[in-house]
Amino acid sequence: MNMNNLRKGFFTVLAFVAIAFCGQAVAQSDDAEELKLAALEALIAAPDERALPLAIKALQGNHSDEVKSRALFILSQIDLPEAQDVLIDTARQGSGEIRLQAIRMIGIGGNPNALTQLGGLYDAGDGDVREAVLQAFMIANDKDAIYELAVSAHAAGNMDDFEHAVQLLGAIGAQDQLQRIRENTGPSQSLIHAYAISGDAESLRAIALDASDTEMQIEAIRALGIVGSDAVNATLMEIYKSSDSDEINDAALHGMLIAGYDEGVLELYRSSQDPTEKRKLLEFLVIMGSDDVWDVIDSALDGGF
Amino acid sequence: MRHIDRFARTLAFLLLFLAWTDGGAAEFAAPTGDGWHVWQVRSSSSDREFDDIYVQMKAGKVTDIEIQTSNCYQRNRSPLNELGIVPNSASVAWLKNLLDSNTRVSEGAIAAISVHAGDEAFTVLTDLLEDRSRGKKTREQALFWLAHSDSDQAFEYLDRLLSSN
Repeated sequence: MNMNNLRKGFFTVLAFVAIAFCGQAVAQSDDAEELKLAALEALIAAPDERALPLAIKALQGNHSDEVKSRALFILSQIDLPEAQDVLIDTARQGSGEIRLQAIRMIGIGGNPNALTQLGGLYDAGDGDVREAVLQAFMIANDKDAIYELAVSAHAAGNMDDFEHAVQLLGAIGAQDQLQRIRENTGPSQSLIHAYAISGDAESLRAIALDASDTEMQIEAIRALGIVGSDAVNATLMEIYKSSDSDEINDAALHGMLIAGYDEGVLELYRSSQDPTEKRKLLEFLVIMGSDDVWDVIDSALDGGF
Repeated sequence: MRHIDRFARTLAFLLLFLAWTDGGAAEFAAPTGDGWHVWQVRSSSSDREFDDIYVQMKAGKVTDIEIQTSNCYQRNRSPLNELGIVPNSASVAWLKNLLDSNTRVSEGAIAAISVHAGDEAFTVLTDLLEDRSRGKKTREQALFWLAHSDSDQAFEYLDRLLSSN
Protein backbone atom coordinates (compact mmCIF):
# COMPACT_ATOMS: atom_id res chain seq x y z
CA MET A 1 0.00 0.00 0.00
CA ASN A 2 1.52 3.29 -0.98
CA MET A 3 1.14 6.54 0.98
CA ASN A 4 -1.65 7.79 -1.24
CA ASN A 5 -3.76 4.70 -0.65
CA LEU A 6 -2.98 4.86 3.04
CA ARG A 7 -4.13 8.49 3.16
CA LYS A 8 -7.30 7.74 1.21
CA GLY A 9 -8.03 4.80 3.49
CA PHE A 10 -7.54 6.89 6.58
CA PHE A 11 -9.86 9.64 5.38
CA THR A 12 -12.47 7.14 4.27
CA VAL A 13 -12.53 5.50 7.70
CA LEU A 14 -12.70 8.92 9.30
CA ALA A 15 -15.61 9.85 7.06
CA PHE A 16 -17.40 6.58 7.87
CA VAL A 17 -17.06 7.14 11.59
CA ALA A 18 -18.10 10.76 11.40
CA ILE A 19 -21.16 10.21 9.25
CA ALA A 20 -22.28 7.21 11.26
CA PHE A 21 -21.80 9.14 14.45
CA CYS A 22 -23.60 12.17 13.18
CA GLY A 23 -26.52 10.18 11.85
CA GLN A 24 -27.28 9.02 15.37
CA ALA A 25 -26.80 12.35 17.02
CA VAL A 26 -29.83 13.62 18.82
CA ALA A 27 -28.68 17.09 19.63
CA GLN A 28 -27.01 18.90 16.76
CA SER A 29 -24.05 20.80 18.06
CA ASP A 30 -21.74 23.08 16.16
CA ASP A 31 -18.94 20.59 16.70
CA ALA A 32 -20.95 17.77 15.20
CA GLU A 33 -21.82 19.91 12.20
CA GLU A 34 -18.17 20.81 11.71
CA LEU A 35 -17.22 17.17 11.96
CA LYS A 36 -19.76 16.17 9.32
CA LEU A 37 -18.54 18.85 6.95
CA ALA A 38 -14.93 17.84 7.51
CA ALA A 39 -15.81 14.20 6.92
CA LEU A 40 -17.50 15.04 3.64
CA GLU A 41 -14.53 17.11 2.56
CA ALA A 42 -12.32 14.14 3.28
CA LEU A 43 -14.38 12.07 0.85
CA ILE A 44 -13.04 14.05 -2.07
CA ALA A 45 -9.79 12.16 -1.65
CA ALA A 46 -11.50 8.79 -1.31
CA PRO A 47 -11.97 6.30 -4.16
CA ASP A 48 -15.27 6.87 -5.99
CA GLU A 49 -16.72 3.49 -4.98
CA ARG A 50 -16.16 4.24 -1.32
CA ALA A 51 -17.23 7.87 -1.44
CA LEU A 52 -20.50 7.20 -3.31
CA PRO A 53 -22.48 5.37 -0.57
CA LEU A 54 -21.26 7.76 2.10
CA ALA A 55 -22.26 10.82 0.11
CA ILE A 56 -25.68 9.32 -0.63
CA LYS A 57 -26.12 8.51 3.06
CA ALA A 58 -25.26 12.07 4.01
CA LEU A 59 -27.67 13.41 1.40
CA GLN A 60 -30.54 11.23 2.53
CA GLY A 61 -29.95 11.51 6.27
CA ASN A 62 -31.44 14.00 8.68
CA HIS A 63 -28.78 16.66 8.19
CA SER A 64 -28.58 20.37 7.62
CA ASP A 65 -28.81 21.87 4.15
CA GLU A 66 -25.11 22.73 4.35
CA VAL A 67 -24.14 19.12 4.95
CA LYS A 68 -26.42 17.97 2.15
CA SER A 69 -25.01 20.59 -0.19
CA ARG A 70 -21.53 19.34 0.56
CA ALA A 71 -22.70 15.78 -0.15
CA LEU A 72 -24.12 16.95 -3.49
CA PHE A 73 -20.75 18.46 -4.35
CA ILE A 74 -19.01 15.15 -3.58
CA LEU A 75 -21.52 13.38 -5.81
CA SER A 76 -20.82 15.85 -8.61
CA GLN A 77 -17.15 14.88 -8.47
CA ILE A 78 -17.77 11.13 -8.58
CA ASP A 79 -17.40 9.74 -12.06
CA LEU A 80 -19.95 6.96 -11.72
CA PRO A 81 -23.39 6.79 -13.38
CA GLU A 82 -25.03 6.17 -9.99
CA ALA A 83 -23.73 9.49 -8.69
CA GLN A 84 -25.18 11.34 -11.68
CA ASP A 85 -28.48 9.49 -11.23
CA VAL A 86 -28.73 10.65 -7.63
CA LEU A 87 -27.99 14.23 -8.68
CA ILE A 88 -30.62 14.12 -11.41
CA ASP A 89 -33.20 12.55 -9.08
CA THR A 90 -32.53 15.25 -6.49
CA ALA A 91 -32.73 17.93 -9.17
CA ARG A 92 -36.09 16.55 -10.28
CA GLN A 93 -37.70 15.55 -7.02
CA GLY A 94 -35.80 17.33 -4.29
CA SER A 95 -37.25 20.28 -2.50
CA GLY A 96 -36.21 23.81 -1.73
CA GLU A 97 -32.58 24.81 -1.70
CA ILE A 98 -31.32 21.22 -1.97
CA ARG A 99 -33.08 20.81 -5.30
CA LEU A 100 -31.53 24.04 -6.59
CA GLN A 101 -28.11 22.99 -5.32
CA ALA A 102 -28.41 19.64 -7.07
CA ILE A 103 -29.10 21.46 -10.33
CA ARG A 104 -26.05 23.70 -9.85
CA MET A 105 -23.91 20.69 -8.92
CA ILE A 106 -24.79 19.08 -12.24
CA GLY A 107 -23.25 22.17 -13.78
CA ILE A 108 -20.14 21.83 -11.63
CA GLY A 109 -19.82 18.15 -12.48
CA GLY A 110 -20.18 18.97 -16.16
CA ASN A 111 -21.44 15.51 -17.13
CA PRO A 112 -22.95 15.96 -20.65
CA ASN A 113 -25.77 13.45 -20.10
CA ALA A 114 -26.79 15.01 -16.83
CA LEU A 115 -26.64 18.51 -18.37
CA THR A 116 -28.95 17.40 -21.17
CA GLN A 117 -31.57 16.44 -18.57
CA LEU A 118 -31.62 20.00 -17.23
CA GLY A 119 -33.33 21.38 -20.35
CA GLY A 120 -36.52 19.54 -19.40
CA LEU A 121 -36.33 20.84 -15.84
CA TYR A 122 -36.06 24.40 -17.15
CA ASP A 123 -39.25 24.20 -19.16
CA ALA A 124 -41.29 22.79 -16.28
CA GLY A 125 -39.63 24.66 -13.43
CA ASP A 126 -40.50 27.81 -11.52
CA GLY A 127 -38.35 30.94 -11.53
CA ASP A 128 -35.84 29.58 -9.01
CA VAL A 129 -35.42 26.33 -10.91
CA ARG A 130 -34.95 28.14 -14.22
CA GLU A 131 -32.40 30.42 -12.61
CA ALA A 132 -30.51 27.43 -11.18
CA VAL A 133 -30.55 25.65 -14.55
CA LEU A 134 -29.12 28.71 -16.26
CA GLN A 135 -26.45 28.93 -13.57
CA ALA A 136 -25.62 25.27 -14.09
CA PHE A 137 -25.18 25.80 -17.82
CA MET A 138 -23.07 28.85 -17.14
CA ILE A 139 -20.87 26.96 -14.66
CA ALA A 140 -20.49 24.15 -17.20
CA ASN A 141 -19.73 26.77 -19.88
CA ASP A 142 -22.43 25.14 -21.99
CA LYS A 143 -22.98 28.09 -24.36
CA ASP A 144 -25.16 26.20 -26.82
CA ALA A 145 -27.56 25.08 -24.09
CA ILE A 146 -28.03 28.70 -22.93
CA TYR A 147 -28.42 29.76 -26.55
CA GLU A 148 -31.21 27.21 -27.02
CA LEU A 149 -32.98 28.46 -23.90
CA ALA A 150 -32.66 32.08 -25.08
CA VAL A 151 -34.11 31.29 -28.49
CA SER A 152 -37.02 29.28 -27.10
CA ALA A 153 -37.74 31.97 -24.47
CA HIS A 154 -37.83 34.59 -27.22
CA ALA A 155 -40.10 32.44 -29.37
CA ALA A 156 -42.44 31.99 -26.39
CA GLY A 157 -42.46 35.74 -25.77
CA ASN A 158 -40.86 35.25 -22.36
CA MET A 159 -38.63 38.30 -22.51
CA ASP A 160 -37.41 38.17 -18.89
CA ASP A 161 -35.96 34.70 -19.44
CA PHE A 162 -34.62 35.72 -22.83
CA GLU A 163 -32.81 38.72 -21.37
CA HIS A 164 -31.43 36.69 -18.49
CA ALA A 165 -30.08 34.03 -20.85
CA VAL A 166 -28.56 36.70 -23.07
CA GLN A 167 -26.89 38.34 -20.06
CA LEU A 168 -25.30 35.03 -19.11
CA LEU A 169 -24.10 34.47 -22.66
CA GLY A 170 -22.43 37.85 -22.45
CA ALA A 171 -20.85 36.99 -19.11
CA ILE A 172 -19.28 33.81 -20.49
CA GLY A 173 -18.12 35.49 -23.69
CA ALA A 174 -20.37 33.49 -26.01
CA GLN A 175 -19.90 35.81 -28.97
CA ASP A 176 -20.91 33.26 -31.64
CA GLN A 177 -24.14 32.42 -29.85
CA LEU A 178 -24.95 36.12 -29.32
CA GLN A 179 -24.30 36.72 -33.00
CA ARG A 180 -26.73 33.95 -33.93
CA ILE A 181 -29.36 35.35 -31.56
CA ARG A 182 -29.10 38.75 -33.23
CA GLU A 183 -29.57 37.15 -36.61
CA ASN A 184 -32.76 35.56 -35.29
CA THR A 185 -34.20 38.33 -33.18
CA GLY A 186 -32.60 41.58 -34.31
CA PRO A 187 -30.77 43.94 -31.94
CA SER A 188 -32.10 44.62 -28.45
CA GLN A 189 -30.90 46.42 -25.36
CA SER A 190 -30.03 43.18 -23.59
CA LEU A 191 -28.06 41.94 -26.60
CA ILE A 192 -26.12 45.20 -26.74
CA HIS A 193 -25.24 44.92 -23.06
CA ALA A 194 -24.18 41.31 -23.61
CA TYR A 195 -21.98 42.32 -26.53
CA ALA A 196 -20.36 44.92 -24.30
CA ILE A 197 -19.76 42.47 -21.48
CA SER A 198 -18.38 39.86 -23.86
CA GLY A 199 -16.09 42.48 -25.45
CA ASP A 200 -17.58 42.11 -28.94
CA ALA A 201 -16.69 45.51 -30.39
CA GLU A 202 -17.36 44.41 -33.96
CA SER A 203 -21.03 43.61 -33.35
CA LEU A 204 -21.47 46.82 -31.38
CA ARG A 205 -19.84 48.82 -34.15
CA ALA A 206 -22.25 47.35 -36.69
CA ILE A 207 -25.24 48.46 -34.60
CA ALA A 208 -23.61 51.79 -33.75
CA LEU A 209 -23.24 52.65 -37.43
CA ASP A 210 -26.74 51.49 -38.36
CA ALA A 211 -28.95 54.57 -38.42
CA SER A 212 -32.17 52.62 -39.02
CA ASP A 213 -32.92 52.39 -35.29
CA THR A 214 -31.68 55.44 -33.39
CA GLU A 215 -32.46 54.03 -29.96
CA MET A 216 -30.39 50.89 -30.55
CA GLN A 217 -27.70 52.96 -32.23
CA ILE A 218 -27.34 55.18 -29.16
CA GLU A 219 -27.23 52.17 -26.83
CA ALA A 220 -24.52 50.56 -28.96
CA ILE A 221 -22.42 53.73 -29.14
CA ARG A 222 -22.45 54.10 -25.37
CA ALA A 223 -21.74 50.38 -24.93
CA LEU A 224 -18.68 50.65 -27.16
CA GLY A 225 -17.12 52.67 -24.36
CA ILE A 226 -17.39 49.67 -22.04
CA VAL A 227 -15.35 47.52 -24.44
CA GLY A 228 -12.74 50.24 -24.88
CA SER A 229 -9.71 49.87 -27.16
CA ASP A 230 -7.84 51.96 -29.70
CA ALA A 231 -10.18 50.69 -32.41
CA VAL A 232 -13.22 51.59 -30.30
CA ASN A 233 -11.81 55.06 -29.66
CA ALA A 234 -11.36 55.53 -33.41
CA THR A 235 -14.95 54.39 -34.02
CA LEU A 236 -16.33 56.77 -31.40
CA MET A 237 -14.35 59.63 -32.91
CA GLU A 238 -15.56 58.70 -36.39
CA ILE A 239 -19.18 58.63 -35.19
CA TYR A 240 -18.87 61.99 -33.42
CA LYS A 241 -17.24 63.72 -36.37
CA SER A 242 -19.59 62.33 -38.99
CA SER A 243 -22.89 62.88 -37.19
CA ASP A 244 -25.02 66.02 -37.13
CA SER A 245 -27.34 64.60 -34.49
CA ASP A 246 -26.98 65.99 -30.97
CA GLU A 247 -28.10 62.77 -29.37
CA ILE A 248 -25.68 60.64 -31.42
CA ASN A 249 -22.84 63.03 -30.58
CA ASP A 250 -23.87 62.96 -26.94
CA ALA A 251 -23.80 59.15 -26.98
CA ALA A 252 -20.35 59.19 -28.60
CA LEU A 253 -19.11 61.56 -25.89
CA HIS A 254 -20.53 59.30 -23.20
CA GLY A 255 -18.80 56.38 -24.90
CA MET A 256 -15.52 58.29 -24.76
CA LEU A 257 -16.19 59.15 -21.12
CA ILE A 258 -16.79 55.51 -20.25
CA ALA A 259 -13.73 54.43 -22.27
CA GLY A 260 -11.62 57.11 -20.57
CA TYR A 261 -10.67 58.48 -23.99
CA ASP A 262 -9.80 61.95 -22.72
CA GLU A 263 -7.24 62.43 -25.47
CA GLY A 264 -10.04 62.29 -28.04
CA VAL A 265 -12.30 64.67 -26.12
CA LEU A 266 -9.40 67.10 -25.78
CA GLU A 267 -8.75 66.86 -29.50
CA LEU A 268 -12.43 67.59 -30.21
CA TYR A 269 -12.32 70.49 -27.76
CA ARG A 270 -9.30 72.05 -29.39
CA SER A 271 -10.66 71.70 -32.90
CA SER A 272 -14.15 73.01 -32.09
CA GLN A 273 -15.07 76.57 -33.02
CA ASP A 274 -18.54 76.41 -31.51
CA PRO A 275 -18.70 77.94 -27.98
CA THR A 276 -21.74 75.84 -26.99
CA GLU A 277 -20.03 72.66 -28.10
CA LYS A 278 -16.81 73.73 -26.39
CA ARG A 279 -18.61 74.26 -23.09
CA LYS A 280 -20.09 70.80 -23.29
CA LEU A 281 -16.75 69.22 -24.18
CA LEU A 282 -15.14 71.14 -21.35
CA GLU A 283 -17.60 69.69 -18.86
CA PHE A 284 -16.83 66.19 -20.12
CA LEU A 285 -13.10 66.83 -19.86
CA VAL A 286 -13.44 67.99 -16.28
CA ILE A 287 -15.64 65.07 -15.31
CA MET A 288 -13.05 62.72 -16.85
CA GLY A 289 -10.40 64.40 -14.69
CA SER A 290 -7.66 62.78 -16.68
CA ASP A 291 -3.94 63.23 -16.33
CA ASP A 292 -3.82 64.47 -19.94
CA VAL A 293 -6.05 67.40 -19.05
CA TRP A 294 -3.95 68.21 -16.00
CA ASP A 295 -0.78 68.01 -18.08
CA VAL A 296 -2.24 70.57 -20.48
CA ILE A 297 -3.35 72.81 -17.61
CA ASP A 298 -0.02 72.63 -15.80
CA SER A 299 2.06 73.16 -18.90
CA ALA A 300 -0.15 76.15 -19.80
CA LEU A 301 0.39 77.53 -16.30
CA ASP A 302 4.13 76.94 -16.58
CA GLY A 303 4.16 78.83 -19.85
CA GLY A 304 2.25 81.73 -18.33
CA PHE A 305 -0.53 81.10 -20.88
CA MET B 1 -30.52 124.36 2.53
CA ARG B 2 -29.02 124.05 -0.89
CA HIS B 3 -25.99 122.25 0.58
CA ILE B 4 -28.28 119.94 2.46
CA ASP B 5 -30.24 119.13 -0.71
CA ARG B 6 -27.05 118.40 -2.60
CA PHE B 7 -25.82 116.21 0.26
CA ALA B 8 -29.13 114.34 0.35
CA ARG B 9 -29.07 113.79 -3.40
CA THR B 10 -25.47 112.55 -3.25
CA LEU B 11 -26.28 110.25 -0.37
CA ALA B 12 -29.32 108.92 -2.19
CA PHE B 13 -27.26 108.34 -5.31
CA LEU B 14 -24.57 106.61 -3.30
CA LEU B 15 -27.10 104.35 -1.61
CA LEU B 16 -28.66 103.52 -4.96
CA PHE B 17 -25.25 102.75 -6.39
CA LEU B 18 -24.45 100.43 -3.48
CA ALA B 19 -27.81 98.75 -3.83
CA TRP B 20 -27.27 98.24 -7.54
CA THR B 21 -23.72 96.91 -7.20
CA ASP B 22 -24.45 94.35 -4.49
CA GLY B 23 -28.12 93.54 -4.63
CA GLY B 24 -29.07 95.85 -1.79
CA ALA B 25 -26.82 93.91 0.53
CA ALA B 26 -26.28 94.96 4.06
CA GLU B 27 -22.90 94.62 5.72
CA PHE B 28 -21.97 91.07 6.64
CA ALA B 29 -22.24 90.14 10.30
CA ALA B 30 -20.26 86.90 10.27
CA PRO B 31 -22.03 83.92 11.82
CA THR B 32 -20.86 83.06 15.30
CA GLY B 33 -23.37 81.08 17.35
CA ASP B 34 -23.98 77.35 17.12
CA GLY B 35 -26.57 76.12 14.64
CA TRP B 36 -27.36 76.90 11.03
CA HIS B 37 -26.89 80.34 9.52
CA VAL B 38 -28.09 81.40 6.11
CA TRP B 39 -27.47 84.37 3.86
CA GLN B 40 -28.15 85.29 0.28
CA VAL B 41 -25.64 86.32 -2.35
CA ARG B 42 -26.03 87.44 -5.94
CA SER B 43 -25.89 84.30 -8.04
CA SER B 44 -23.42 83.59 -10.82
CA SER B 45 -26.19 81.66 -12.54
CA SER B 46 -28.05 83.34 -15.34
CA ASP B 47 -31.39 81.83 -14.35
CA ARG B 48 -31.78 83.21 -10.83
CA GLU B 49 -30.84 86.31 -8.90
CA PHE B 50 -29.78 84.92 -5.54
CA ASP B 51 -28.40 81.76 -4.00
CA ASP B 52 -28.57 80.79 -0.34
CA ILE B 53 -25.41 79.91 1.56
CA TYR B 54 -26.02 77.71 4.60
CA VAL B 55 -23.33 77.37 7.23
CA GLN B 56 -23.43 75.17 10.29
CA MET B 57 -21.43 76.12 13.37
CA LYS B 58 -20.61 73.95 16.35
CA ALA B 59 -18.54 75.10 19.32
CA GLY B 60 -17.57 78.21 17.42
CA LYS B 61 -16.30 76.33 14.36
CA VAL B 62 -17.78 75.83 10.91
CA THR B 63 -18.73 72.18 10.50
CA ASP B 64 -20.72 72.20 7.26
CA ILE B 65 -21.49 74.42 4.28
CA GLU B 66 -24.30 73.92 1.82
CA ILE B 67 -25.63 75.86 -1.13
CA GLN B 68 -29.31 76.03 -1.80
CA THR B 69 -30.80 77.33 -4.99
CA SER B 70 -34.46 78.10 -5.43
CA ASN B 71 -34.82 74.68 -7.07
CA CYS B 72 -33.57 72.76 -4.07
CA TYR B 73 -35.67 70.99 -1.52
CA GLN B 74 -35.96 73.12 1.61
CA ARG B 75 -34.55 71.18 4.52
CA ASN B 76 -35.42 71.91 8.10
CA ARG B 77 -32.51 73.43 9.88
CA SER B 78 -32.87 74.51 13.44
CA PRO B 79 -31.93 76.89 14.86
CA LEU B 80 -31.67 79.01 11.73
CA ASN B 81 -30.10 82.43 11.91
CA GLU B 82 -31.06 84.47 8.85
CA LEU B 83 -28.47 87.06 7.92
CA GLY B 84 -30.23 88.43 4.85
CA ILE B 85 -28.53 89.63 1.68
CA VAL B 86 -24.79 89.90 2.08
CA PRO B 87 -22.28 91.65 -0.23
CA ASN B 88 -20.68 89.03 -2.45
CA SER B 89 -17.20 90.34 -1.74
CA ALA B 90 -17.70 90.00 2.03
CA SER B 91 -19.21 86.54 1.69
CA VAL B 92 -16.38 85.32 -0.56
CA ALA B 93 -13.76 86.77 1.78
CA TRP B 94 -15.34 84.98 4.74
CA LEU B 95 -15.62 81.67 2.89
CA LYS B 96 -12.05 81.99 1.62
CA ASN B 97 -10.81 81.77 5.20
CA LEU B 98 -12.24 78.26 5.37
CA LEU B 99 -10.25 76.83 2.46
CA ASP B 100 -7.68 75.27 4.78
CA SER B 101 -10.26 73.60 7.00
CA ASN B 102 -11.11 69.91 6.91
CA THR B 103 -12.14 68.39 3.57
CA ARG B 104 -15.88 68.63 4.13
CA VAL B 105 -15.74 72.30 5.02
CA SER B 106 -13.14 73.31 2.43
CA GLU B 107 -15.00 71.52 -0.39
CA GLY B 108 -18.23 73.15 0.77
CA ALA B 109 -16.49 76.53 0.80
CA ILE B 110 -15.21 76.09 -2.78
CA ALA B 111 -18.65 75.08 -3.99
CA ALA B 112 -20.23 77.99 -2.13
CA ILE B 113 -17.72 80.47 -3.53
CA SER B 114 -18.50 79.24 -7.05
CA VAL B 115 -22.13 80.38 -6.87
CA HIS B 116 -21.14 84.00 -6.19
CA ALA B 117 -21.32 86.41 -9.10
CA GLY B 118 -18.38 88.70 -9.55
CA ASP B 119 -14.63 88.87 -9.90
CA GLU B 120 -13.81 87.92 -6.31
CA ALA B 121 -15.19 84.41 -6.64
CA PHE B 122 -13.58 83.91 -10.04
CA THR B 123 -10.21 85.03 -8.67
CA VAL B 124 -10.38 82.69 -5.68
CA LEU B 125 -11.20 79.72 -7.92
CA THR B 126 -8.47 80.45 -10.45
CA ASP B 127 -5.97 81.06 -7.65
CA LEU B 128 -6.83 77.65 -6.24
CA LEU B 129 -6.49 76.02 -9.64
CA GLU B 130 -3.13 77.64 -10.27
CA ASP B 131 -1.70 77.00 -6.81
CA ARG B 132 0.25 73.78 -7.14
CA SER B 133 1.15 73.77 -3.47
CA ARG B 134 -2.49 72.81 -2.90
CA GLY B 135 -3.52 69.18 -3.10
CA LYS B 136 -4.82 67.77 -6.36
CA LYS B 137 -8.26 67.33 -4.82
CA THR B 138 -8.57 71.05 -4.09
CA ARG B 139 -7.42 71.98 -7.59
CA GLU B 140 -9.85 69.47 -9.09
CA GLN B 141 -12.67 71.05 -7.10
CA ALA B 142 -11.75 74.49 -8.39
CA LEU B 143 -11.59 73.21 -11.97
CA PHE B 144 -14.93 71.44 -11.60
CA TRP B 145 -16.75 74.53 -10.36
CA LEU B 146 -15.13 76.80 -12.93
CA ALA B 147 -16.17 74.41 -15.69
CA HIS B 148 -19.72 74.18 -14.40
CA SER B 149 -20.10 77.90 -13.97
CA ASP B 150 -22.38 79.94 -16.21
CA SER B 151 -19.75 82.66 -16.20
CA ASP B 152 -18.28 83.65 -19.57
CA GLN B 153 -15.20 84.82 -17.70
CA ALA B 154 -14.62 81.30 -16.32
CA PHE B 155 -15.20 79.70 -19.71
CA GLU B 156 -12.81 82.07 -21.47
CA TYR B 157 -10.17 81.44 -18.81
CA LEU B 158 -10.43 77.64 -19.17
CA ASP B 159 -10.55 77.90 -22.93
CA ARG B 160 -7.26 79.81 -22.97
CA LEU B 161 -5.79 77.27 -20.59
CA LEU B 162 -6.80 74.23 -22.61
CA SER B 163 -6.14 75.73 -26.02
CA SER B 164 -2.56 76.69 -25.30
CA ASN B 165 0.27 74.48 -26.50
